[in-house]
Amino acid sequence: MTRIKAISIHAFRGTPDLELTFDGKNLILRGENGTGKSSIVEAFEFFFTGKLLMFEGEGTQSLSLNRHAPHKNFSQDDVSIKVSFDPGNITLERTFKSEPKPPAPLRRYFKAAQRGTFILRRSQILKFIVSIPAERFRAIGSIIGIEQLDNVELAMKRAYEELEQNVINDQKRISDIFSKISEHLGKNITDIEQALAAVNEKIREVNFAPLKSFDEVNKLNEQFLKSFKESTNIEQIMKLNEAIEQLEQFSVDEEIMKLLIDLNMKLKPFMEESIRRELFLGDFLTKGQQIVERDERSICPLCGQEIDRQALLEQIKSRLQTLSELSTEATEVRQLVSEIESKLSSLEESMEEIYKRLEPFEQLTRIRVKFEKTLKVLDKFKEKLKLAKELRIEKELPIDEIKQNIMTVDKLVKSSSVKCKRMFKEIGVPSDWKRKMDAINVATTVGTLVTELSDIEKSLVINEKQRDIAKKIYETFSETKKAKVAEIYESIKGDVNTFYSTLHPSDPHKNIEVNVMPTRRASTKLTIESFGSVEDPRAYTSEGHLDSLGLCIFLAFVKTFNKECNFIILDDVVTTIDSQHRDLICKVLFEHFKDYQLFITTHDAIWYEQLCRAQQAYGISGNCKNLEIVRWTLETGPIIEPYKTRWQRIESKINSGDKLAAVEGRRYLEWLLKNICEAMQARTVFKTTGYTVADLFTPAKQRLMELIKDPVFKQQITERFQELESTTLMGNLLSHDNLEAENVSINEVRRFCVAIHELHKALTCNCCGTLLRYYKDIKRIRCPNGRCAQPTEISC
Amino acid sequence: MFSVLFLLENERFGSDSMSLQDDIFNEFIEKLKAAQLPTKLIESLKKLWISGKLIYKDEIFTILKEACKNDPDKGN
Repeated sequence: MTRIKAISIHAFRGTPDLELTFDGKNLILRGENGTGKSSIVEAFEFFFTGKLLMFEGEGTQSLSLNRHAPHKNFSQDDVSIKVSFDPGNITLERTFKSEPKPPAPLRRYFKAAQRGTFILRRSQILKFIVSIPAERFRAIGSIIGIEQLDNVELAMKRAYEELEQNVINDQKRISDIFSKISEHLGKNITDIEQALAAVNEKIREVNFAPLKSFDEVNKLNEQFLKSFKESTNIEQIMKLNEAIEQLEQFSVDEEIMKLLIDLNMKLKPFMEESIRRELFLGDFLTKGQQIVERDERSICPLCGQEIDRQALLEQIKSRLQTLSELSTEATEVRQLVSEIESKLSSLEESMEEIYKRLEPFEQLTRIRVKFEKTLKVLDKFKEKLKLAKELRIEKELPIDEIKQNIMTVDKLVKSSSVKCKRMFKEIGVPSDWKRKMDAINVATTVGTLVTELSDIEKSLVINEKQRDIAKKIYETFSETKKAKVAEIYESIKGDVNTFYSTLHPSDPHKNIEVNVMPTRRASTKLTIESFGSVEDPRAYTSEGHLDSLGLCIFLAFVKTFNKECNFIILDDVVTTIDSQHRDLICKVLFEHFKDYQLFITTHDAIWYEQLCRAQQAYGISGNCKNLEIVRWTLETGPIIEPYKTRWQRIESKINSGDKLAAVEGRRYLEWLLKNICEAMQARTVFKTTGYTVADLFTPAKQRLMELIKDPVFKQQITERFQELESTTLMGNLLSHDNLEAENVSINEVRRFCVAIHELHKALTCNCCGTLLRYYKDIKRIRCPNGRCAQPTEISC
Repeated sequence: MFSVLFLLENERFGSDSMSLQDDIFNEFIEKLKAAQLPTKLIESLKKLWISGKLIYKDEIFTILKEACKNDPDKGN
């Protein structure tokens, strides 16, 4: 099994030079805030992933890996992270110019670690718990490695939606054409056969032979022209008649205005600043894409660094794809724009047709000029619609202008019709000519519409076929993915609940469920059973519970999906979890993750000591290294020393004459009294701020005196408290909570600290050194370590 | 794990680290085969998946058009 042997960090973050030896063991590292713990974690992150999470995402625009990852006194070229692995004593290096090239035995480990999902930071836990279901799904998708599928699913969905819209548009156009045919023939027509029958009815009335199909319309037209060849102006009469027919047919689809108003409403949210920022990023990326595509050199146009041009282009393309991942509202906008575009195109087609028909008549030139202008306005408006479709719009669409133009066209058409009819009358066409011409015009117009109809029907068949396949593909993919993810969730559920119930054995919150949301494309719902009902975990649980829940989910996923990489980093994750539950975290880690190599960092001395003690309790001391960062400067980086117990640290200060040992002693006493009160169930005054020695001393002492019946033990504890109380420093703490160590001798400091240590010793298990605890049900004070070989036990 | 919350997208995955993704995709392909979708279309989907281009809608349109052109009697 692969283990990390050592890490060597040079010129990286807060570390100029550091050799940290793991020897293949777990490493527990304590250090105050700002002493370089996270630099070491980041060094691992950079080594495996080539990135640093803290420089990515929202709000990190001013941060860059290139500028901010190197140590302040070094340049990017100096950065080097080397990690050695066992077995095989393999050492790999990452710099800014080269990445580690793992040999075959390490490849799987490395690939799993490359995801960066082996690191858990506290900030991430809460963010995960409180995130929206879609973000949570992405988070989980990341660890189980399926986020690529999400993009695929989205592309499939959008392809299906677009084809569905094409089908709807075709169906609408077909329905519009049938309406037009019905209008021409003066009866409701629903299929082509009916249309032919109705046309034949009309041409029979003027003594023409019926048509077998609409293909014969031209022949009919020729016959008619032949019969009137003696007339010199027949062509003009025909054209005029056609123009009248066309003008009569013209009507403005009133729905356009309603749809435009609706569109403006729906576009409003997309005009907001935050959305525009997103859109700006899209523009920026599009521009970047164009520049990189144009410039064939593999150089970044922004920073001049060497780049993998192809990979960058792919990433930009993929990023643009993600940015265009829009909500249902966005899809609705796109669909609405498509519908409006289709209606406007149809309006334009009718206008262009009228424009052509009016061409032979000079008297109508003025009207044609106005038509031309309106067509240009509509063209410009369609460009704006295109932008609206891409959601790249900053202000409302000028729909009033369009309304004005359409109304003008409507008026022009009506007046043109009147004018044409007058012209027709002036020519003096015989009445039977007029009837025959009308019949032929109807046949021609319906014939043209039928041809158009056939084309759209063919397109509809193809679009429906493509739509059906796209739907099948999308639904099958979505169902397969959901089912698999649900299966995965089911598989980790056991571990999540096992870990959680280990941490919270007598908790009212249980049965954690991580579920795929069935009605959403990619969402994860997290629930917990609290007080008999299934709730969002935030409903009734504390911040500490949420932290531990996040930790349990992380560990369950890592256990199942990071099997190839047995390295886990927990970076300062237990801040809000109380002392008792921290002990139980040790249990989860040391019992369920025995085969893993853990790297745990903390600033918290108590948690650190709990971890150190737990190693003994779980018999894994030989497999752990306990180190402390004792100081840090920019020049030296973190100075790391082996772990010393709190008492060893105090003792060493006292021996060197450092009176600040008293300050350390005070913290020791505070910690001890808090733990005595908690373990012995002492009654303390409720406080929202931190407890001081003065708050805890009397309740701890009184409670012990109440509980202990054994006279020898009682005497021993009484003496310890008396000794403590008799020291000057203790007097200070109890009277005004001020530790005036400067005014006392080093001997007095020693006496104070030894008294605390003696009290602590008296209340710990003789076998394993764990602080004793009171068990009300058995009326005993005893060692709480279930693995202790000879637990100390005192009757109460 | 939750690192992805801070990323607009995760670019950390190479094609050879996608075993679970491949599993899901293969299962999906099997279902398409069972549904008797055009063979050519299924092959094209596989090619797009391997090349990483299945995330582009336009690429999907292209193969749908191809499939409906070449295999007009299937796919409904």
